[in-house]
Amino acid sequence: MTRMIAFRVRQWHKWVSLIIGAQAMIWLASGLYMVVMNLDFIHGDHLVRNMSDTISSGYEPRITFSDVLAGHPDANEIVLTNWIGKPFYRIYSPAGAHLVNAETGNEQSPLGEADAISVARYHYARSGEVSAATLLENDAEAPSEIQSRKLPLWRIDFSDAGSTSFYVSPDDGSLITRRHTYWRVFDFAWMLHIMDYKERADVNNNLLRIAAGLGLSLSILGLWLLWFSFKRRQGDR
Amino acid sequence: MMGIVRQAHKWIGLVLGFQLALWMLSGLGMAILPHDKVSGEHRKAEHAETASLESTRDQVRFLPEVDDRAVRQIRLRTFNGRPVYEIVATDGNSLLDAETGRPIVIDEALAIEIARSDYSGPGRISKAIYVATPTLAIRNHAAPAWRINFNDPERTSIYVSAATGQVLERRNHYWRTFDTLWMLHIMDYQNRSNFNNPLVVISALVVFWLGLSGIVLWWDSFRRHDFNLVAKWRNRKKRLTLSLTDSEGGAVRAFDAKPQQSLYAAMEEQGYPLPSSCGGGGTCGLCRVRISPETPITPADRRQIPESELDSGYRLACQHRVDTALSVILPHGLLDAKTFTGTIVSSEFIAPDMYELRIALPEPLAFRAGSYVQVEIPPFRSHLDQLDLPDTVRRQWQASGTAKAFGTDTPLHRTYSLANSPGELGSDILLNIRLALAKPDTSGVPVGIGSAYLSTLRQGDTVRLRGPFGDFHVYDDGAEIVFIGGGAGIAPIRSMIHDQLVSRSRTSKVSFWYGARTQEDIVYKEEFEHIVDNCPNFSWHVALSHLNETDAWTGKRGWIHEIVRDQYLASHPDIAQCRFYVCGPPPMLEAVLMLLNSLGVSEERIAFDDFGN
Repeated sequence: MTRMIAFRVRQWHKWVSLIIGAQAMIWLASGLYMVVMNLDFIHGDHLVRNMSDTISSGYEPRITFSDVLAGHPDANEIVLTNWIGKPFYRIYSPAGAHLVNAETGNEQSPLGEADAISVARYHYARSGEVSAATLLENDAEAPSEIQSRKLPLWRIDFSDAGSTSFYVSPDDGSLITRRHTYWRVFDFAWMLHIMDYKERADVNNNLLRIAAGLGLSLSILGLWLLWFSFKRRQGDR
Repeated sequence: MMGIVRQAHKWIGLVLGFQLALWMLSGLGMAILPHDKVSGEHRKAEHAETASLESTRDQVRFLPEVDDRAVRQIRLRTFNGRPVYEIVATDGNSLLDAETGRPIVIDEALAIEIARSDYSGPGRISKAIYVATPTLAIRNHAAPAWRINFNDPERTSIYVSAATGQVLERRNHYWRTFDTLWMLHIMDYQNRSNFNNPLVVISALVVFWLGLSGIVLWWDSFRRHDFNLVAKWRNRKKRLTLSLTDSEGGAVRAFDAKPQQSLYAAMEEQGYPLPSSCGGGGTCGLCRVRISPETPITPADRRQIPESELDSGYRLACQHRVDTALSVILPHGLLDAKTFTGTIVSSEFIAPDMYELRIALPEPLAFRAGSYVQVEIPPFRSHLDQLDLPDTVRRQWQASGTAKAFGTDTPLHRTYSLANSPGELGSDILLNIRLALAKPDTSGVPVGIGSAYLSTLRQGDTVRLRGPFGDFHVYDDGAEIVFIGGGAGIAPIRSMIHDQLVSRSRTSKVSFWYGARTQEDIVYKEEFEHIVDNCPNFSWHVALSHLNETDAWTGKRGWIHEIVRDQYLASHPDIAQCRFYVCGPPPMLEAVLMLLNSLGVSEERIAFDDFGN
């Protein structure tokens, strides 16, 4: 009776492929894109420079940590850092973040357009020019590519082949993230891969669970069929 | 074209189907494992926001120094109730007390305290381990760390940085399972992090074609009526009449079949399993039946069945649906075949590589001359040294390079034509079996299993047979008959000649053109000569193809198809009125069929038995 089982298995394989075949193809195509594209490239490592600036050895800020703390008593954390080539303090408190010059004590934040562009250009490693600077303040105008990052943010666009966008925080002056065409395609592929078409983040969604279950049965039925296919033909005349 | 796509689908499936199943399995596993448990968030204590520095303001007395370690940042925050500076340097991070300026050492007790305050589950701390170099669990972190184990059911481990006291990771069995699935998914079995590794890239590239070929196969696999769900629903209780007819017009059976299932499935359901080795894929061609010639021809039919047979209604049963009342013509014997246990009466070599097996059946077999039987070869093991063969055969076996040991682990079936005519030997039957040795240039291949097994049988041994089968029969009219045959193809021809001339005393002209290699290969010589003496309408002609110039042989030399053409058919006055019956090894059969075709003999005047083995 094995040939009848093979017959049934072939029918199931055929019909399950009709239900899940297109999604399986999408998994293969999106998976292929994600493994073929170098991850560092997708992350945009080639777009940035000056990401590990240090503070000059022996530097003593004119404004001390105690001074900053006196001016911002509600702070949770105060960070002395190198901000586009000069020493600055970043101050984080429940009310928000601030950027303060470590030499003059002047507050730089919130960053204006010129400062935001300066940050972007300081970290930009390619040859494109700034083509647009937009302050994103409310959720309605926030593109999905910033994911869960908090607003407000400056979006600085460059006129290069990858349509690079840098996102700069007007509060602490840091480069929050960078995006380019291949990242955007990767993100789209990821969305297709995990089948969360809204947030592109939830790998536990039921659609994915059901589809993966069907995909698994499709491949197991396929393996089963292989076993029949490669069994030696017997009793042929 | 579809054949290539189907082959590609099958072979890629063989190479990487298992990996595809692993991708699906690991993907499903990762989709099922809840993410908050995998990340350990569910055991994380609900801390207030990082404590404000305000209460410790007066303690911030020490001013940190930017030393020459390439310091990137100095962060002032609270840690364990005290203000601290975290020095973020290129070569690693460190903590200083903001009041005294003394380095803070994260020792075991402190790490345990940090882990305990981070943890909210029911477990207790069972162990603290110092991890000097990063393990897989903290592969994204650089510094040494403390691993604090909890004895909860999911075996939580909290990793505390030995440099900064920060909680690096919260790991548990959910994560460990997830991480194994992730490893299988991205095929990086060492570091579990690089999904650009060549193995996964190549696999994805190849399996991509598995998917593409699968989608192309949809067009070949689905028919429009597969999607006619309304009709299916409406017809769910309907039954159609399927009538089965033997190819000889007898033994009609009729039964009701469910519509819209394949003919193959309907037949199987009614207890008439057709032969098949592909399981309904339309790729083995064994389930052919004859139905109405108007039935549309599918691509699979076209691949498996020759044009002339398509025209007369042969189709693959697995490729056609029962959608109207159908009349199916089965190969002769399929409905009436019986299974017997026969007893060997004698086994005798009648040519250097062919022996005659005489088998007694429990009752006479009703068959038509030209039929064949199926013989069961049970699992067995044997060796040349155990065989009782004539010395010439043994030498030939050794000279051909055929492997000496042979056998099978699973039962096999082989078919052999009956060499006797109906009623000739009472309830005994006669088979001519050619011992299939290796060809000269294929040294080491095994002997033909069926022929070797049967050669081991001796008088009194039993063998299981099923039959009779076959459509190779002499047409019942008064036409002239030309038999052309050779090798083991002599069997059905002997049966037919004996039946027509001895049993039925046929009076029309009958000639037999017999091709053999050498004089030793000519079998049943005396019998044919005896028939010639008694039947003036019969003649037989032997041509030998493998003689040396010096061999003494006064008869015809050369290939039988050339001899019959030059010496008979080319000058035949009315070749269109002859009927041709052909049986022999595949190359001979092919040559004869080409010859008859070139002489303009129509296909319905030719019957042949193809037993290419």
